[in-house]
Amino acid sequence: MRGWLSPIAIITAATAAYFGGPFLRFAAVYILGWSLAVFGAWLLLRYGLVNFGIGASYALGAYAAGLMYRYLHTADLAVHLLAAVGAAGAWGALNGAVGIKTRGIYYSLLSLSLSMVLYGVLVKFYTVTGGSDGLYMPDPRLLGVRIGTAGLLALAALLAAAWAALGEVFGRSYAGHVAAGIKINELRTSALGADVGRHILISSVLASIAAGLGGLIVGYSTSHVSPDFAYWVTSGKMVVGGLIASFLPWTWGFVASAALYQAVELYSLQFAYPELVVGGLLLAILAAWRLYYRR
Amino acid sequence: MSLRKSFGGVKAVDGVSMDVEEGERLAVVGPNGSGKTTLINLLSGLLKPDSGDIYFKGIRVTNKPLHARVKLGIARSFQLPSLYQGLTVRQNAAIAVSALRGFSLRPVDEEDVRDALERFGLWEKRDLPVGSLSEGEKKILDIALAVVARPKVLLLDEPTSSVAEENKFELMEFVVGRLKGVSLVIVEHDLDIVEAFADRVAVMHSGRITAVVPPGEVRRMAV
Repeated sequence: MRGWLSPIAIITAATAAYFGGPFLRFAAVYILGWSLAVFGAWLLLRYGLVNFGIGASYALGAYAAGLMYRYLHTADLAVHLLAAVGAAGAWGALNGAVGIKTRGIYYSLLSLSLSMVLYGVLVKFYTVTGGSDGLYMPDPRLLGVRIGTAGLLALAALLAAAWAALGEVFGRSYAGHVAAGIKINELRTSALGADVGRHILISSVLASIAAGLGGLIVGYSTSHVSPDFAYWVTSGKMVVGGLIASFLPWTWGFVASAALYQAVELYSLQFAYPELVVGGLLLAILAAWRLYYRR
Repeated sequence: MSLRKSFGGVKAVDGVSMDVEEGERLAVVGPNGSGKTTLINLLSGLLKPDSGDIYFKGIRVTNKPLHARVKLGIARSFQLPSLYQGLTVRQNAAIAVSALRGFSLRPVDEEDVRDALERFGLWEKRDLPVGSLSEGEKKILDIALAVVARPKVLLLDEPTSSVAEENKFELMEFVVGRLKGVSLVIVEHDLDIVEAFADRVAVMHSGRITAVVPPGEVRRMAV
């Protein structure tokens, strides 16, 4: 029952952020958007799949909307959502097809390679994609009305709450148990009757859609999308977020993980080598958490 | 029919033809390296034969993958119990129950989990990690997981290996007693077990079935 409190907790936190002033509103939208990508990485980690190309889905969600605005001049939220889901879902199916045949480091490197092919396309096809400058992301409109910051925060919170609910359902479901089986002993799970390839394909599509919607939200929040969304370092950060979420015992762990990661990254920017600080701090937090949990 | 499988220059299974009747217990015996486990792997779908065909109730299943054969009614256990280490007995059974449901987001039916474990007397141990079970209990759980699919043919790969000598008969009686009506293909080294529990015995040597005999004649052939 407690698990069902997760969506409510996310919406409550977002509501509190709304009343916390402009910075907290922006931070909440950004974190909730990022958390959806973390959810995608976390879902695939449930199968033992480390996807170092999840950033490609994140980018596609945002680019789908950016391209819609650039070429079709539409800022309609429903159209953007459909485009983001379609583009990210198709990319997830491609990744899932890779995941059917490859495992371990081979899967990780293939997913990374695919994402870097997309990164290359986004950078080089300047006339279509805006190259390394990226694309402008408009303020989305719902039924012709700008949704504004409050609307964007509500959208981000609703999406995160919906995926938290899905995570809760997944954890208790037949599919969730099969994911655990595939991660621990794939051959045995197949010998018990599970179509492992089908499970991985569907989960890849779901993970990619989550990440794509995350990219859309973050793109809206910064009014901009660039190829950096698809860069492998971005994917790596999402995988770290997914790993942290997998240590946390709550369904909303992916939001907590995203918030923690963004806070640590923001803090580290004051130092000469921020990546080292991020790595060190996250390891320290994880070690402290594990020690506490074991006790 | 006439199954062949080679690994490099080694003919592990070399032209094996055999059939199993409904409800029959067929034992496969032979020395180490004679191709028994490879035969089980071919029948279950873990390996694909180089040539030959496998039929199940008139359906050609040669090219069907492992999971598809399970759904048709061919299940298997493993020589070394293939369990989900780090999880409890209940969680192992929940995975077995879930494996047959496709990608379903419905919650796991705990009654199915309970049935799977109670049938093999493991419900009391449901909260124990599988690593803490005895070798015999691990074997039973391994078979219990396979039986969740309600197979018509169950392939048992050395069901009594690594079980203490004094417990082997008890284990087989316990398992066979719960598999009435299921055809069993039992790969086994222990001829006492074979004599006691098999209806027919196929003798394998160098990848071939050299004889199919009643259980009482196996010892004579071994001599």
